[in-house]
Order: sequence, then C-alpha cells, then structure tokens
Amino acid sequence: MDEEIRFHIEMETEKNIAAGLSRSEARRRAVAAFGGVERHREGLREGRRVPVVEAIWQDVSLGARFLTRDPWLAFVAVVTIALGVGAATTVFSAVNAMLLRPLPIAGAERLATIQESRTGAVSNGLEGMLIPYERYVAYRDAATDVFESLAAHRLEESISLRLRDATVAVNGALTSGNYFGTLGVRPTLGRAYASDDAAEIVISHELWTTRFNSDPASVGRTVGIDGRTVEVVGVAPAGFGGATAVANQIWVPVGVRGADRKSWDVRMVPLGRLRQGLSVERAAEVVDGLSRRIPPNEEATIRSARLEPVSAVPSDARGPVTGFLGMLLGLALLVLLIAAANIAAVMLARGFARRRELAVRVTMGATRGRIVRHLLAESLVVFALGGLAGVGLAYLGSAWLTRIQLPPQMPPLLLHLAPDRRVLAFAVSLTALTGVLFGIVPALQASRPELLTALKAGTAGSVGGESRARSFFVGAQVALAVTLLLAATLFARSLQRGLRTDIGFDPDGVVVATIDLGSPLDYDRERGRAFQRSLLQRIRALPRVERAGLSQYVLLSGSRSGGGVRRADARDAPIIHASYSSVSADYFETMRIDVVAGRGFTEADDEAAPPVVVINRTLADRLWPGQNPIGQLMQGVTGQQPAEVVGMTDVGRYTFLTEEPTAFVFLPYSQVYRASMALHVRAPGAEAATLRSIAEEVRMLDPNVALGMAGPARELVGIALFPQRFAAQLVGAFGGVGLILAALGIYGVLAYQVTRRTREFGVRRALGATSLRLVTSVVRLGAVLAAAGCAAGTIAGAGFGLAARSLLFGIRPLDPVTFVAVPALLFAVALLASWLPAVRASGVQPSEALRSE
Amino acid sequence: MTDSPGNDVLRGTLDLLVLKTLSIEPMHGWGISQRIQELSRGVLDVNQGSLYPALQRLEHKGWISSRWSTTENNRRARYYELTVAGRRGLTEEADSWRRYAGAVGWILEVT
Repeated sequence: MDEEIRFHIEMETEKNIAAGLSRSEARRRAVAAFGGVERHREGLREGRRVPVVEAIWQDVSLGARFLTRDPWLAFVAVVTIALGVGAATTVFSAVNAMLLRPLPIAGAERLATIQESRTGAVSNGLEGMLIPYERYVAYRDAATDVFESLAAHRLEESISLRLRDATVAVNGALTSGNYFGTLGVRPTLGRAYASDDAAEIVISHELWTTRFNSDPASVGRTVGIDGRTVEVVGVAPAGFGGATAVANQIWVPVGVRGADRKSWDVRMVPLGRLRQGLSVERAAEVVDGLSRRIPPNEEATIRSARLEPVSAVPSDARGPVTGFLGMLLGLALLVLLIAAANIAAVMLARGFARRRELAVRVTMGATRGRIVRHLLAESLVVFALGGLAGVGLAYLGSAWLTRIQLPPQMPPLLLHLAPDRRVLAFAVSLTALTGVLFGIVPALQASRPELLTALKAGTAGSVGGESRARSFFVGAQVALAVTLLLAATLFARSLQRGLRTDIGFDPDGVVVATIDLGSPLDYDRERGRAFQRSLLQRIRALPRVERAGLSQYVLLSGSRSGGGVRRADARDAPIIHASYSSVSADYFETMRIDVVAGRGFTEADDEAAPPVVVINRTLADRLWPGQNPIGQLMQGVTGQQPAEVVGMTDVGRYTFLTEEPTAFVFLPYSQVYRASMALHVRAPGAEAATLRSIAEEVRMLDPNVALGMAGPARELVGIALFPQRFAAQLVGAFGGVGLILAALGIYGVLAYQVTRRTREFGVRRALGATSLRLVTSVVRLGAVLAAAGCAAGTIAGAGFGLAARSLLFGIRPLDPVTFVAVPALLFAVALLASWLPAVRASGVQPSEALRSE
Repeated sequence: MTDSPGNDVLRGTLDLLVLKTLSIEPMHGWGISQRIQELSRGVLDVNQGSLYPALQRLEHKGWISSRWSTTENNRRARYYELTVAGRRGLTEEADSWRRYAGAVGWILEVT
C-alpha cells in the first residue's frame, strides 16, 4: 500500500511539474490532493499488508483475549492439551534416553565396537557379541591404523565384593587396562588402573557414596574381589555408568580373573576410538578383513566383522525396544489427537457463535486471511499454553519412570530420562503441528464468505458445513478413544492370562537364590559338588523348609542353553532343537513339576551310572511320536554317550512366557556338573526368613561366595511379563483419559446443539411433541456419531492388535470378547453423554424458546 | 474517508466509474483517476482518498484483480483489471445507475 501511494504521489508531482510548478510546490500540491496520507493509512489498516512482527504480536494479543473472555473453557482446553502433550513427551523421553541420546562420553560418535558374525555357537551379552580375550589382543595389535586405542569390556552381573564389614554382589564390568583412556573418561578421585592385570579397581560414584561413605580416603583402600585382594585406585565421575545403559558399580581389569593370561577364559567385546580423519566405512572394511586373518579361530568359523556404534541399547536389542516404545508413543499420540479434536470442535462452535462479530469485521475491510489468522491465533495460544504445561507434566512423568521398580533380574540401568533439548524440540514441534492442523479447520470454517453474507441476510440457521465438521471431529474422537481402550484392554487381558498361564510348575512359596562357583572362585568339580551337597543338607534342615533343589537356570528368567538332540537308534534321524538345564534330584518335587511317566532323578544317577535324562512331552512327541519314550535312547546334549530317557514331564514354559511349545531336556546335576546354580527352596509362609537363612548358610560355607539374584519365585515369573505389565498400566491410563475426553466431546457437541435448537424445540413442543420425541431426536444424533466412531475405532483397534501380536499372548489379537465389550461400553457412554443434554432439550418451554435468539 | 465539497463523486458511482475505466484497459490507481478526469472532460475530479478504498472494495468483491508490474518509465506500479464477474457487475451497476438517473430526471421534469 505504501508503495502504491508513493507511486501515485510521484506521478501527480511530475504532472504538476510538467504544468510548470517548482518541484517542492508540485510535491506539496500532490500530497495535499491525496488528502492526508496518514489518515488514509489508518483507514486502510484492515486491508493493508502489515509487517510480520507487528502482525504476529497483534494476533497473539487477540488470541490471548480469548483466555480472558472464556476463562473456564480456555482452562479445560489447556488441561486436555497438556495431558496429551505430556503423555507423548514422556514416552518420547524414554525413546530418547534409550535409542537416540548418545552416551555421556565425549566424542562418543568416534567410538565403535567390533561385532563378529560367526557360524556355530555364539555368546551374546548386553554389550554385544563376546569374543575370546586373545582375539581382542590380536585386533588391538593389528588394527593400530584404524583405532587410536582399542579396549575391551564385558558386563559381569554379580561380582563378589568383600568389604570390611560385608560381602556384597555388585554389578560391574571386566575391562582391559586402557578402557578409561579409550573412552576419555577420567576418574574424579585417584586414577584409572594401569594395565590389564593390575590388582586395582575403580568404583562408581554411586558405590562410593553408598558403600564408602564418600570418604576421600577410599582411594588406596583394599577390598576383596572374588577372593583376591585389590586396591581401589579411583572413583569414576558421577553419572558415568560405563559404555552401556547398565549402571556399573565397579570396573575391574581382566587380570583379576586369574594370575596367568593363558588361563583367562574370558570373552569380551572390543571397543575402540577410531582415528581422526578415517571414515567409518573404510575402518569397517579393514576390521572385516582382519577378522578372517587373525588367530585364534576356534571351532566356530568367523565369517565377518562389522563396526557398531556405541549406544545405550545394544544393536540386536534395538529392534524389539524400538517396536515396543514406538507402540507406546503411537498410543500416547492418540491421546493427544483426541484432546486436539476436542479443542477443534469447541473452536468450531465458538466460531459459529461469533459469526456476527466476524461479519462486521469483514465489512470493515478485513480479508479472509486476517480473520483466519486471528482465529488460528486463538487456537494456537491454547495449544501453546497446553504444550508448556505438557512439558511440565513430562518432567514429572520421566521422574516417575526413573523410579519404576525394575524386576530384580534386570541390572540397574543408567538412563537420562529427564527431558533434554531433543525432547523439548519434539514437544514444541508436536504442539505446533497439532495446533496448526486442528486450529486451521475451525478458522477456515468460521471465516467462510458464504456464512458471513448469509448472516447479513438475517438467516439464523446453521450452515451445513459447520455442523458437519463438528460431527466429524466428535466422531473421530470416539474412534480414537475406542482404539485406545481396545489396546489397553488387550494388554490387560493378556497380562491376566499370562499370570494364569499353565507354566508347568508352581512358583508359589518358593524362593530362589543364584550362586556361581565358576571361574572367579575356581571351584573345581569336587569342591563344587561338595559345596552343593552341604548347602542342600543345611538348607533342608532349616525350619519351615519343605523341599530344596538346584537347577542350572531359573525358569522363565530368559536364560537357557540349547542344542540339537536326536534319537540314538538311527544316525540320520532328524535333529530336534531343545533347551536344557541341569537339575538336582529333588528339583521336580520342589517345583511341583509333575513327572507323568517314568521317574525323576535319584542319587543312583551319578557319574558311574549310565547317562539319563528326563524330557518333556513336547520333545517326546517329536522324537517318538505315538510311542512310550521311557527307555528310549537319545543323543545330543549329553556328550558322546547316548542317554536313556527315564522320565517325562508335561508341557510347560521354560524361557519366556510367550514362547511356542518348546522341547526340553532335564539333566541330572549328579552327572552333568555345573558351577553355576539356582537354589530353589519351597518354604511357604517363611519366604523372607528363608532368604536370610540362605545368605547365612552360604556365608558360613564360604564367605567369598555371594548370592546373585535372590527373591520369591513369583516375582521372577513376573519378570517375563514386565513389558506387558508396564504397558498395560500406561495404556490403561491413556485409555481412561481418552474415554473421558471423548465423552466430554460428545456431551459438548450435543449440549451445544440443544442450545442452538432451543427455538426449534420450543416450537415442536408447542405443536405437541412429547418429551420422549425430543429426547430421542437429540440422542439419535449422538448415537449416529457414536456408532460411526465405534466402527472406525474397532477397525483401527484390530489393526493395532495384529501389529502388536508379539506382545500379546494367551489371547488372540482379535479377541472377540474385547472387541465386542469395548465398543459396546463406549457406545453406552456416548449414549449417556447424549442423554443429559437431551433431557435439557425436553425441558424447554415453548415461550422461553421463542424468546431466545 | 471524508467527501470534500466540490466536484466530488458519490461513493457508489465511483465504483461504477472505476469499473468502466478498467473495462477499457487495465490501469494503475493514478492512471484511473487521470482517465476518469479526462473522460468526464474535467467535470469529475476523483477524491484520491476515496479511490484506493474503492479499489480495495472491488477487489475484495472479486470484481477486479491486481498485480504488480512496471510502467513505461520503468517504475513499479500495481495494475488493476476487470474480472469476468466484474464485467457482469459493470453491466448490472450501469443498468441500475441509468434507472436511477432516469427516475431523478422525471422528477426534475415535473414543473
């Protein structure tokens, strides 16, 4: 506009000059003829293109006026948005902490682990693929042009740490000497250990505060590790837990494991810092080439090696973790969508109610664009405030997450869950995106030219488009709420089923404690057996103990061994993959595992006797279908000699609750000795006392031995269900919120309808319509919306069920009970939400109706 | 937007004149005011303060459209032109003006 006016005045000036006036006179006349530029500017304000900043400020203050005009409405709107944004941001902060955020180590992007791929047996830990120490050394010496420094580490679940007054089992990592140097992490007190076999350890900041009283004189103290005396030489910085998500409490050089390097039967993961200027691809090529050339290359053939970045979650777990968190994030976003749809519907109604005001502005010259911007600003102000509150909720939410009780089997994790820059950026973009998407539609609707010209003609009815849009939003809300609730219910039912699943044993009243007599303590077989015998004897003598037994693994804890077995009578019989575990003779009675055919193990099944096994029905059916397995011979997990099947148990679950029927073999401890064991003690009613006694007895037998996991067996079964339990709680909360919001949405739409149609109702009543007819007409609208929403939501819910099938078990992904009950529930709620305003409608008196409007 | 006394043009008829002028050829704001003056042989002098609001009004109605372009002297100016709807509007407005003017004439003829 300014430019146009300027042009006009210039032309007029030139015309005056051509007519003979002086330049200044010409210009003065031209301006005068224009009649006062400033005044025109004011008058043209509505249509003028205003500079951006000023415009935004105008819109913001107009938007803010909404808050003062309708404070209650604005408050409710802000709260609903806050819930949605808060939920989504909290889940995203977990995604961030586990998958996106680099470890708190400087230059973490130049760190990489070497992961090999091999045929044959593999060992996998939380840190990756474990390889023998000698291979690590070979890499270290051969790859100097790739790595500035190559260290190695492995996680150790329970290291026995002997302090002055107690022996505790701590979480730690066994590392090479150059570990801290490679990571670039410097202990805050003292120093790192000097070499691979120094008799020195570094403790974590957390351990220093809890067990060492934050005493600076801790540096230099000696403690016992697995029977050896070592010196504490350093305290790691606060917040540093190692190179994985696991919170390590101590770091121990490899050499503590044994005096002689050759006897270090340790497998570790190499972890190194790439040289500057070297591309990752080139480095990976070199490492891959080396992998095939360096010794030793045992019975397993090394196929290749690759470099993986160092991250909180190891690469092979990233898939399932991403899937799980992604699903949670999707559900949280559903809650936000419901909230946003609520807001949009409300804004639509307000826009319609203000149509007069908007029409006036149009005649004053406001363009449609300006009006849309103004209405959008109102929505955005609400979304912005809601987003802010949502971020606050996310802080609370992530604080709650860090305090969740992880199941005892899982090592403590060090995750930075508090919202950081990335999470805040997510929250801001999410709020902005939702705000614009859900704000633009009501804004466009309310500013439609036809609507405003219709107003001038005096028509009071609604223009079709507006109520259609509202109905769409409310229908969408119902659909989203149905989807959420279906997801929540599927999880909850799956959880219920899981806890009641026939697992084949009875964990109630049983406590479990794990003990490892293996390489740190170097118990040989004789000593080990003697220890096991004495321990069982002493435990069985305790009061209230009914039975006690040993097994190699704790069932359903996710650990197992596996191997191939076949019938011994034919060399080319098919090989069946089975899981197996060594157990003591009375294990079956302790765990109440029914041996349905043959017998269990006895003391007579010792090393002098022929090898025997007990198998489960699944394996029996696969090896000897239709026949009696007792007395048959089996080849495989017992070494060279075939073993005789002496007993059979029923089917059960052994490693995971969600597993397919698994073939299982029980081996007798008395024949197949294992240094690690899980002591199972059945002592109903005296679990806590028994646990304490177990610790006592173990200490009396050998103070260097520490218990690993210890707790009631029921809890350990619960571990297998931890993801489901957590998801069920969270999704249940989401579902509840979604339901409330959707109900509010329906109520709001219908209440508004009733208000607008007061006149119509009054007329109809005057014409003799009964209350029932009026109520029905209102409820009918609500019912149609609800039905459409339920249908759409059911379809979406089915999609969810199929996609999340791996997390649900004991229940079909399209479980009929769930898919009938939930939509029915929501439909009922929707009808109720329609009924309330309908009742109001039926109470409208004709006189009052005609007076309104 | 005040009307100054003298040879000013009533607001409604201003729209009509603008439309008619643009029906001859597309023009910028200043050009329109000059052309109206010319074509009315100096009788009608457009109050430039009313011209631009009128142009805005007509544009908002969709009867004219505008775009920036350059004049023969290489200056940037905003050119307006008639739309299809505007042509129809011109015919309507012209008809109603003639009826109006005719009616006024009859009354004045009465002695």
